[in-house]
Amino acid sequence: MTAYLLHYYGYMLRAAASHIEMIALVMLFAIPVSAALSVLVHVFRFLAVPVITILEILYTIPSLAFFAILTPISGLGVKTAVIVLVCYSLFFLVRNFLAGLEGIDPLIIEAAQAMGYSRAGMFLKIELPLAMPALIAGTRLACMSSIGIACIAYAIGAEGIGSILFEGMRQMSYVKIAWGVILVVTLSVAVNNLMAAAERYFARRADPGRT
Amino acid sequence: MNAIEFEDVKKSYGSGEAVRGISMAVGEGSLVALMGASGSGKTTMLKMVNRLVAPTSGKILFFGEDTASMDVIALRKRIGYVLQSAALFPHMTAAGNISTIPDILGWDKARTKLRVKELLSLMGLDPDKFAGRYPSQLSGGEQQRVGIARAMAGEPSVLLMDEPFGALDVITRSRLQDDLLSIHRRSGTTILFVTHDIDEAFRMGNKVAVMNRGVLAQYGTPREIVENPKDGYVRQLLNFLSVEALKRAGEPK
Ligand SMILES: Nc1ncnc2c1ncn2[C@@H]1O[C@H](COP(=O)(O)OP(=O)(O)OP(=O)(O)O)[C@@H](O)[C@H]1O
Ligand SMILES: [Mg+2]
Repeated sequence: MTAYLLHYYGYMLRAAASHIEMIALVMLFAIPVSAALSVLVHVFRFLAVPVITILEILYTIPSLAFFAILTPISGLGVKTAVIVLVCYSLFFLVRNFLAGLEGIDPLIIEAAQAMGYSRAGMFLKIELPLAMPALIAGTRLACMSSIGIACIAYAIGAEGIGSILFEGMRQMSYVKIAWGVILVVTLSVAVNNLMAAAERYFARRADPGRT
Repeated sequence: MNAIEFEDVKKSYGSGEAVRGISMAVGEGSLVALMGASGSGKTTMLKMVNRLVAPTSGKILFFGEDTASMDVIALRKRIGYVLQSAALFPHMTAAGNISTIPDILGWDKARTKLRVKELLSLMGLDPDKFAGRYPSQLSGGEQQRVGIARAMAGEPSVLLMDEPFGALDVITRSRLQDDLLSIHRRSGTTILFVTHDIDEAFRMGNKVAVMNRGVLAQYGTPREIVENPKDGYVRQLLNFLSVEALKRAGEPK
């Protein structure tokens, strides 16, 4: 185990770095797109059913099949992987963000409306801060799911921790498999804890009196 | 001039009729108490004024102008609204809640700050102690008072109050009733005040509107109502009026 680590730590770090890079890229696209979609659906309610249905359908496509469908269009590599992961992430993000917006006490919305807030003012000053914890919860789920699926993306040539795992399986090397697992689990736990802390922070901001 | 005029206003929710053709005028600078049993349509009446609820038919005039054709935001900026439950914004302090309307109106910081202090004191809440508290750190009655301060902050020309003193003990309640009356006299704000407490209605209102299942049973000064109750429902209600309130109603205001 340690011999492998000493010999290949550079390679392992690079694999982990590409993995993190892929997830960051996914969030970079998924968060703004999901925010725009959620706001659109929140303002124009009739869009709710079609948008959610499309995201649900995309989410039900198994990852390997999704990679396969896109490969002829966007080719092998990180690009295709990111597109697929963004589609999956949108499902978590939009669903949670909308649940957050819709979960605000209707009396609070009524009070804000009665004060003469513009639509935008009401969104920025009242709805967004109160829905923020739900948005972060969605981001957390999206990150978790992306970290896992990104491993499989090695099948289409997207480098990451998947590279170590797949090599391990091909060479029947338990050491490689073990290190791959340790890396991906560590990353998952770290991101999960980070996002949980962010969630607590925004929950406190949404109702500071409660804590 | 009338601040608010209801013209044959009806509101139905599905098959249920909450308000069944009410016409009444609220004179500028008056304090009208709207009273009636639970479910008689009081909250619905208030919400039709600031267009949180659209009437099914009929018209509502705001200083002579049909509210349906007014810009809804401009209309709401001129109306303060105290909800039946305080409905404070949980992510803002008491001061933050009270500042919302001045902020929307674009007041400068110093003026807003002064106004917040003034209103907190007026509501019997020590500004040093309460300004920085969040709603969940306030008792129900304190929340309600912050809600009243929030509605009054922008110096609105009309104040809609939905059972604003519901969650208060008798002493605080009586003090705030007096304070509201003196604010009303000083500021000339038109107030439409919902209550289901007949003593409170007769004590507060220049005029009292008695609602019964979506219908206006009687609308008049306390004295007119006491001396000449219009129907059996009003007569029955008067049985519950306390002796002091009855005596006060008999005296000209
Ligand atoms: N959004 C709604 N949908 C359906 N029915 C409603 C709605 N809002 C009010 N109602 C009905 O309209 C009637 C009048 O309601 P309203 O809230 O105006 O009564 P209220 O006089 O304020 O009662 P309370 O003293 O209990 O607050 C009630 O029968 C109520 O059930
Ligand atoms: Mg009511």
